[in-house]
Order: sequence, then structure tokens, then C-alpha cells
Amino acid sequence: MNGYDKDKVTDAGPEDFFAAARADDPGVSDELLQRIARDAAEMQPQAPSLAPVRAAKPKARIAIFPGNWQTAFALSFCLAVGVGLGLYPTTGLQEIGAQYGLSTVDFSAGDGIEEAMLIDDFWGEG
Amino acid sequence: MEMPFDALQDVSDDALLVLYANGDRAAATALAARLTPFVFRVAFRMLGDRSEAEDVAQEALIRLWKTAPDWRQGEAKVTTWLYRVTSNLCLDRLRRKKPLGLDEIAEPTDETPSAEVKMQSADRASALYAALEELPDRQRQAVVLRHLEGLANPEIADALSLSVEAVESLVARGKRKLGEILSGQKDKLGLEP
Repeated sequence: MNGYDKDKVTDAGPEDFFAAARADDPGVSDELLQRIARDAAEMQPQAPSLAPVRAAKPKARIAIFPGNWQTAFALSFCLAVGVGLGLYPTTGLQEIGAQYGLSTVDFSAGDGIEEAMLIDDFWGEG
Repeated sequence: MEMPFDALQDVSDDALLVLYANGDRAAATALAARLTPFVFRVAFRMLGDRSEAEDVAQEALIRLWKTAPDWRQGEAKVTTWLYRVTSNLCLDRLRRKKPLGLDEIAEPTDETPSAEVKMQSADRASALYAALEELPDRQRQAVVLRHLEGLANPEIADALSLSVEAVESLVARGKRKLGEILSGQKDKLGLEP
């Protein structure tokens, strides 16, 4: 070892130049900044937007019925018929049955009550 | 909902990129303002040419904007990714570019002392850029990333897709070569030969 280190001598060489280059910030032109900001905006993915909330149409407001308006009408009609038969159960049915020659059963109001009273008596006797 | 620009100052690069991908306009502005000087500086140091460095910076960032929707936060550093892309873009240009001779370094023109010192520093930087152009492309990139950007060898290896050993070798040889090229410039640039 003669004290001469070739690598050390040459490696120490460019340090001043490196330091000068590090201190020499090249800066950026406003034009480049604007160009890149414009690219960024143009290429930016769009956020998925929510569907706008719209007022429901009158037709949609009665959409509680399954199907279309014909279905709604049929259901309403059946409901009305059911109520009608409930209010006037015997006369109408008997007349309809008679028209088609069917035998009728004579029901009268209070039949069910009498049956119930008989059952109560039965249990009371026990 | 978009975050205000000022609130993004402390947000990490990759979190900003995710915000960008989600359509946040302020994130786009913040990223462009933050990354443009960085990418341009790296490109300029590798190429030694402002115009070409600007083109490279724009191209590198266009690639980043395209990558944003697929960016996986936490897996890679945005700056490391940019070092890699910028290095590759510079490499493409270096292979097509005619080397600039040391004779083309501008002479100082202002004689005032403070300006002289400033010019001397700028001239040293210019001399270095000119000397860097005489290095093989990979050596130049490794030296710039190591000694001007201050990256550690493993980071350079990642950016240049090389082994750490290869980077060490490139840096050492590049630095030695620069020392030889610049040794004749020291006296002229106010340094002890």
C-alpha cells in the first residue's frame, strides 16, 4: 500500500459538480404546469353519479296493485261483489240458484246463534 | 363530495391518486402541482434539455392519469413508479439523441461578484449535465438517481428494474468516468484541480 487510492481520488472528483447540480433547481414553467393540469382534468375518471330523484307519476302512485290498471279494476270489482254478497247473502244467491234449477238451503238469520247456544248448553251440562 | 385544495397538502401521493380516480377535481389539481416539478426535474437531469424534459414530464404524468383507476393503494410508491416511467422515457430519448459536447457550455457573461458566484454554480451544473451525456445511458440514469435525486441503491434498482449489485456497479463506474471528464474543467469553473 503506497497511500495512493485511485478510486478515492477519482470518486471525490465530481462531488462539487453534484452539489452544484442539486442546488440548481431547473424550475417548471407555468405553461407546463397548466398543460399537465389540463391533461389531469381531461383524463380524470368521472365519479359515478346518483340517479336524479324524480317525483312519482300518478300512475306509479297506485302501483300498490300488482299488474296494470285492468288488474286493479278487476280486484276492486271482486272486492265490491264480495262486500255485496256479504251484506245480502241469502236472497241473491237463492234467486240465482233458482234460476239455474239448483236446490236451495233455507238459512235464516240466527241459525248459527242457536247452534252455539246448544253447544254451550252441552258443556254446561257436563 | 370534494376535498378543498388546502386540505390535500398533507395527503399522501397514493391516497391523492385514489381520490383522483374517484373524480375529485381538487385531487387532480393537487397531484399536478405536486408531481410536475418532481418529474420535470428528474427528466431534466437525465436529459439536460428543458424542452425534451417537459415532453417527458407530460408523457409520464399522462401515463399516471391512465393508471389511476387501477392503482392499488399501499402497494407501491407513486414516486418510485414515476422514477421508473420517467427513466424509461428518458432512455428512449437518449438513444435517439445526439450527444452534446462540452464545448457547448455557455460562458459566464455577467461580471458582478454575486452573479459570478451564481453563474459559476450554474456552469458547474451545466458542465455536469454535459459530462453526464458522455456516459452510457444506464450509467447516467443510475448516477442521476443516486447523486442528484438522492435515492438509495435498492430504490434505484427498483426504478431501473436492475439488481442492486448492477446499480452499485453502474454508479461506481459512472462516477469514476465523470471524475475523469470533469477533472479538466475544475480550474475553469473555480474549483481546485
